[in-house]
Amino acid sequence: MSYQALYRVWRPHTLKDIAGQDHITKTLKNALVQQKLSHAYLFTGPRGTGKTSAAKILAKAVNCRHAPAEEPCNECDICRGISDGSIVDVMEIDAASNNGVDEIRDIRDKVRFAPNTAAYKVYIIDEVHMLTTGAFNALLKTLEEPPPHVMFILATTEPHKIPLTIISRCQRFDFKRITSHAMLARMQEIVAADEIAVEEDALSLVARVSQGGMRDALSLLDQAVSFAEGTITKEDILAIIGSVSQEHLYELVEAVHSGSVGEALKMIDEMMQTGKDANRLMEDVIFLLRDILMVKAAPQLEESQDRLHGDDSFRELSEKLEQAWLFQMMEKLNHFQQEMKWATHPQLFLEMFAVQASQQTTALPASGESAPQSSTVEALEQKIVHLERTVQKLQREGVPAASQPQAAEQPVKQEKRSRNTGPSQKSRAVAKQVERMLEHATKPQLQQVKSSWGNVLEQVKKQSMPASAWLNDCQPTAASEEYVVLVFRNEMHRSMIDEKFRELVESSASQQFGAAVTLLTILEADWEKVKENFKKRQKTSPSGEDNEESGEEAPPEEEKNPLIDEAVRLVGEDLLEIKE
Amino acid sequence: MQTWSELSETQPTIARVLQNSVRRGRLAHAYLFEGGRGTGRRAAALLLARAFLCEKTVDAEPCLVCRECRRAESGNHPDVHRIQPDGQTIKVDQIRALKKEFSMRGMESAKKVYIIEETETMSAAAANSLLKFLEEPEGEALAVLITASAGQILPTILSRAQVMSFSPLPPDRVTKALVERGFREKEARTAASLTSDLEEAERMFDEEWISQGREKVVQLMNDLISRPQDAYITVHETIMPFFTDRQQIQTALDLMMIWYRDVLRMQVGQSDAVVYIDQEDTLTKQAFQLSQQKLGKNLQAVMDAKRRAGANVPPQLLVEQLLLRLQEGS
Ligand SMILES: [Zn+2]
Ligand SMILES: [Zn+2]
Repeated sequence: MSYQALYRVWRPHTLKDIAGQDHITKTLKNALVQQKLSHAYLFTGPRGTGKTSAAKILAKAVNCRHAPAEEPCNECDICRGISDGSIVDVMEIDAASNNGVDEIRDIRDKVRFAPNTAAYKVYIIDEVHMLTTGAFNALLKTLEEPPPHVMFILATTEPHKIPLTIISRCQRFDFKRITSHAMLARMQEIVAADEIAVEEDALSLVARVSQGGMRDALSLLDQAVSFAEGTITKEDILAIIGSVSQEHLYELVEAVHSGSVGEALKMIDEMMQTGKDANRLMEDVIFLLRDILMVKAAPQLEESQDRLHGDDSFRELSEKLEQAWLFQMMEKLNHFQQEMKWATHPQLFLEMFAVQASQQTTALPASGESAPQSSTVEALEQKIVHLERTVQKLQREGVPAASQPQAAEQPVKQEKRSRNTGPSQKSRAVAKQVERMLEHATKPQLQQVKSSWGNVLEQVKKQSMPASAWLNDCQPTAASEEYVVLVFRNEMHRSMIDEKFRELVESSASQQFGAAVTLLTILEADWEKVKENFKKRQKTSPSGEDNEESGEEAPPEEEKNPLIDEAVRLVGEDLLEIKE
Repeated sequence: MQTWSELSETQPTIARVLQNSVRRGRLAHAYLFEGGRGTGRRAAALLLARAFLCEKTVDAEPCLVCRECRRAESGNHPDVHRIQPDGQTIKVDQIRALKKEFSMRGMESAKKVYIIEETETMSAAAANSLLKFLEEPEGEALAVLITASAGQILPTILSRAQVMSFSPLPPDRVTKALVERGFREKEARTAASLTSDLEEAERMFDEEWISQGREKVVQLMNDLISRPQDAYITVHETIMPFFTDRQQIQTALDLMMIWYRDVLRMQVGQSDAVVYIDQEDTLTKQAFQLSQQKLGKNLQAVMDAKRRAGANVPPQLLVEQLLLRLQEGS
């Protein structure tokens, strides 16, 4: 009378309707036609794969008025009687709720009597692994000498819990997870017959997330019918299972891969705020990476071709991700997935993944497991950075005095500077530089610096404890492609970093940011003034042309070339400093 | 919660599926409502029961005034059965009694509803006894099983019920509700990050517990960086005497976890997402002092400690070991 769930309505009534178990149904059909039936069957396999349905169909087929035939007719009085339970010769026993010895003894006693109406007495024992040892023993007695008119069909999801003595008396069929292909075909049949409007994409998604269980698939489809207004779309399915769209997943994985922790965290936050499920998201990421690995490892595979077909962003992403990285991520993900199952804050595991995985990207060469290899890379990296800095310095400051070695050049210069000027004057002089630099400073640059500043500190610390102590007082407040502004509260700290440890900090920072960086150190008070000036200037000249500044520091006309411009600016500052 | 539209404020998908199912006459025989405390599972079960029994629904909303609605509300509708754990577990006798009840004709109508709370506490025998009943209930019956996590339910039961996963209330909502009840925002935010259950969050304010606990953890987190040599003393004199039982230790660990998460948020420039809103200076400072790698390690360390806390490791030892891990390599 009340509504029947799809999976009940579409419970298969013939062997042909059992999806994805052709290896079993074919054998059974042959046995039926040739009348070579066994007295005991054992059906094993995951839930929702058709074990109980097959058992019922078999019970009908052996008793059908039209037997021998490969299918029950479902029309004759016997078939109908079995379906509605009025024929007592076919008994369905749920071992889960009848695990007593008594019930099985009862079977053993009654089994001798001939069937009432049907040709065979069929006992279907579902969840047979739930029987007690006593009950198994009673059952075994019957199986050892089965009367000719009796058939047992035992079904279980956990065959390893069944005594071997029982298994050896049964013909065993292992039901497999239904392939998405078979599942899709069956669902298409169902939606066509029930006139359910559903997009192709949506059905594929249902098949994919149900992982081989027909019952789960139909149950999800059932919810979708209720949820959707009109045609069921992929978005409807995603909403029900609390998943995010593939596009969002791609973006997340990309953010992680490129080391953008902040972006990744923001995405996770948004997904959680809109009610997505953290566990599901983790699973989705795992599935995605698994797919990418498959496509990379075996592009010719039919499944790979299917996955690549019509999804360009997937193709792009899979080309971008390195196999080694993917393996590392899979390992991490599996680890986190195990842990988060029991966690009270599953979202945190996602965040942890984002942090650790992003780290993996930026620090892959520096902190890999294989120490010798990574230290070589690190050394190489350092060399490159050093070269870059040298080249830049050359561009800025011209060829150094003949015999002076490059590396020693700057500190010498620094010392010269500090001899000429008082400490706070020094900070103020830098202020001019900072003001210019702000024209090219950008928020994302600063963000990048801020987010990996901890790494810089760590790097510095490895090489010099005192340097890291002096550095603790400051904060990066602005960054352009070449400069990072560090604001200090204390002049002592500022000058120590500026003069003694500049080289060390700059090279650590350069290595961390992957580009040559020059530090501009400034006191907090001066920084505030610079900011004020800059804001004012922004208002009066929105174009922000820096040669509209006070005439004093305007570069000469002929030096408009940006590269030389830059160099002169530095030199100019130096001169300016001396003038003061 | 009295209506579907109210439910849809917090659980839009579930409200839509259920309301449409009632409206279109497509209700399943059995549902499993899965979700944390405070997500509205119980209220939704009752709402569903009413919508199912009410004789004058308007657009699948229960009328709330008819006899069925009123009796369901008062909790003594003869055809609404509720099963709760008898002691630690739901026993097989409780399920047997339920079955017996159902095999008799409906008291008033053919419609019957049974709501099983804390389904995960069912004994194996009880769960097994429920199985077939779920598959083929007699008459027009509606089952709603409520649980904290579907992962703890027998697969055979799971596959016979439609699983509805209730999402936790977003912390912002809990915070807002707490502030509306007169609690200070900084503590409200903290409580909301510890639980999505409003009542549980409110209880944390008893005797200023949350505000004290919070201060103590903040002190420890501060010491770990600024006065590492004192951190050990802080643990012994401040943390351990306050967070005494296992549950409280878990909360202390949660508070630490949230701290590191905040530091991380600071580091990536998402200061508007932090929980310790009054600690921005310290958080900012730590954001510069801890590398992301170290932060990741610290978070992992706290999480490992949380897991161990559930596995009978003495709290003292647990926290001391955690301290060592937090301090190593920093
Ligand atoms: Zn027939
Ligand atoms: Zn009513």
